[in-house]
Amino acid sequence: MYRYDTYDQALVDARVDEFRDQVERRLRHEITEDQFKPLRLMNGLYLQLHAYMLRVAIPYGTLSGTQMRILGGIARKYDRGYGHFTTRQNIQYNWIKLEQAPDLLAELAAVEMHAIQTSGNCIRNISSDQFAGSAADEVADPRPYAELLRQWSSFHPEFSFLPRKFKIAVTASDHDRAAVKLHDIGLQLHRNAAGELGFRVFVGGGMGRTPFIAPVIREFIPVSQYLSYCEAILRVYNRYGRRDNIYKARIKILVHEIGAEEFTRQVEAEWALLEPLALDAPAAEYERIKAQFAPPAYDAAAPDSIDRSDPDFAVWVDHNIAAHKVPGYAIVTISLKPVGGIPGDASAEQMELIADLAAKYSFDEIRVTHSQNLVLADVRKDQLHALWSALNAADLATPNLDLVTDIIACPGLDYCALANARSIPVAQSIAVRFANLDRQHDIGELKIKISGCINACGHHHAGHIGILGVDRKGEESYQLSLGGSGAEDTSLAKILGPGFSEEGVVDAVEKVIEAYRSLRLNPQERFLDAYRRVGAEPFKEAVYG
Amino acid sequence: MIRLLTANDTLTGDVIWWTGKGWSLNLADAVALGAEGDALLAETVAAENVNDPNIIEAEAGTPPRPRTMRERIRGFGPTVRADLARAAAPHPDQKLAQAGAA
Amino acid sequence: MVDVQDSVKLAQNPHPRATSAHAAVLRWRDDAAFDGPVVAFADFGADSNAAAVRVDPADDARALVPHLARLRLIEVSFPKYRDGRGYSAARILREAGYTGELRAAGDVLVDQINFMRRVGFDSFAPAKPLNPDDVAAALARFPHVYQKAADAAAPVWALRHG
Repeated sequence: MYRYDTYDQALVDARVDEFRDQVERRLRHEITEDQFKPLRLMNGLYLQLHAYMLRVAIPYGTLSGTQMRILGGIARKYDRGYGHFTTRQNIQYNWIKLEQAPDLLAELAAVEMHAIQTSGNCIRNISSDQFAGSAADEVADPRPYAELLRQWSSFHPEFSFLPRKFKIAVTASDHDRAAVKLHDIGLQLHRNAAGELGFRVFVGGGMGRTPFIAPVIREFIPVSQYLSYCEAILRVYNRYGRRDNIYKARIKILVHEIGAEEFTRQVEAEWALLEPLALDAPAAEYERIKAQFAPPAYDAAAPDSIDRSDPDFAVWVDHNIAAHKVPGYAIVTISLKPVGGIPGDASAEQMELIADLAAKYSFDEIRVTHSQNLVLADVRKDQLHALWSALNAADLATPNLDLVTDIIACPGLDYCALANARSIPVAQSIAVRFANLDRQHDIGELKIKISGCINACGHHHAGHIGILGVDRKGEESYQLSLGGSGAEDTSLAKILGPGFSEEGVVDAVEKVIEAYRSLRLNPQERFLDAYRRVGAEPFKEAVYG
Repeated sequence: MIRLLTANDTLTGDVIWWTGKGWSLNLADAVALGAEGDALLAETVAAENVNDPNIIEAEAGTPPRPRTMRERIRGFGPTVRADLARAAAPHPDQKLAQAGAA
Repeated sequence: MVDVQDSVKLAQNPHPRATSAHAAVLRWRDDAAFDGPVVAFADFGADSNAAAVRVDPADDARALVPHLARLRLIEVSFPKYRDGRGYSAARILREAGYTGELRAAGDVLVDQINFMRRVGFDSFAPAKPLNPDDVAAALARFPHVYQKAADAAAPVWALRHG
């Protein structure tokens, strides 16, 4: 994985010093809260319901065991013993004190981590495929390009006061594990007819109040020019994105209002002016970064079979293991969704254990997924059972990847100052209702995603079943939507009908699922496919009768 | 309904309530505001010694019971982490007790 | 009862706040400051003698490109520091070859001044005066840059590969 050189380290260290000064200026009343707020937000520090919340960037979701161990230590030292992995592959701490935040950031900087641009109207953490580098289906490892984007976007002088936040995702396979079409910019690495590497460029996707699926504005931009092309996109957005209404300020609204064709024309015109300025990093820089993502020393003699004699282990293998590009290895997803637990939360002890297991079994590297799970991407198949045993002992081996209890949920009203309703208790109630593993496996792939407000951090628009919490005359109420997808077959879920109470929505989900079980063509037909085949009516009938 | 003045401490981020003499971390210490409430809020906003000061409604009691779920969560802690409850009183919204959390 | 002490401590340490409407212009140029009239962007086209123009956030800075040779001062206004359109305006003008004075005026804060220098501003007319020491510290803060802009700073990729 990428390691800082002295330049990277000097910049991150300078940022810590700058923030320490800013905090001191605020505490001395030299700057007002109104002036300070955007400065702390640029360092990922929000004021939430109970305390300050710090969002730490995990670039493209990749971190080392050492970094994970520090994240666990920070949870214990500065927080209340846990952290929350988010849908943008970051980690959030919920109980941070402003006066301690500079020290915390210094500890992060010591292990090449930061909270730079994890909030504010700037280019946020670059997200990517959690299987990058190990996936059997990728054309190349997208992470060197994501790292170049991280560097290009960090402290970008022109794009730090955009109309609104800006999210970029990078993938390299047709199977979309990073929801690229639901980002401000989605970049899909692929090869053109001549065999050259370049990006398909999606712009203007997003969820939130007004969800859109991003159109393609360019089928192919060579990898040698994608940074200047992004620069052109950002400049058009910075100049013409709406600033009169915060709810219409994302680039998706600009693309929608002027049309993808006109937007593309403007970007191409801007790029024609920018491209000659040699803004793109040279190939040597890409090669330097790529060398740090070189494949680990796989053992060519690693046996390519798994001893499935332990039935509980075999169930986990069936659900939480993905195909690796190297024979004898497997990609393991560690579920952070124990039934009744809080989706995405991990205790300091769990983080430290996972750090140890990464060092022991997966070349000291860990990934964070946008569905709030963790991944060990390079595990020998003959060590899977030992790994599983250690995970199982720490409640980290729930065999429910992509099943009904593998629920995405934002922190919701239990933590978040923006939320209108709680998300976590709904996720817990649904998981408890469907706790029976045989029942989960019978239902098959089913992605439930829950947001506690219209900002859609819980990706409810992209849920096979999406749940949105709203405030209805002072009471929490939940809207049910069906048919969304954040994968390569991206679609936006549609509201089924009137909302429910917390208990009501759990009953409604069960009715939807039972309706699916009775109308599916066969057990292999996924919920999403069945919904697309029959439409909303049978589900409306089942729920509202 | 009584009215309470609440905010977050700038240094720590902690939820705090106005006691009549200063700020407390404990909802039970909060005093019902009288006619001076709005002026006190305006003063507090202007002074910028605390963050996001706000007047909320609550039912009288020890501790008072804030009217909205949001303010009860601020007052008592997250409903999903009984171990992190803020006040000595049981959380009024912690009904689930996380059946499957074992 | 806790935290009262901290709040009191904060209140006892008020920093004097500047209130004057205009402060001296900070300049990073050796030539004499232009002291003629600055025309509004909308009036610029009709005034063929104007040597200075003010660009507001919604104005298209690129429309000035044919006229750069006769411009000595372009003042880009920042009514609110959060409105970042002026950063693009500045860089567009520099990329088009403008070498005259480029001034950021209005809600210009010390924490943004480094970015403003990088996109090509070489003078500043902040609505509230800036402490020169703070400005100097802010400009010296970051030893490197990650990307090209309108200044002479070489991005780290250029330093890495000589």
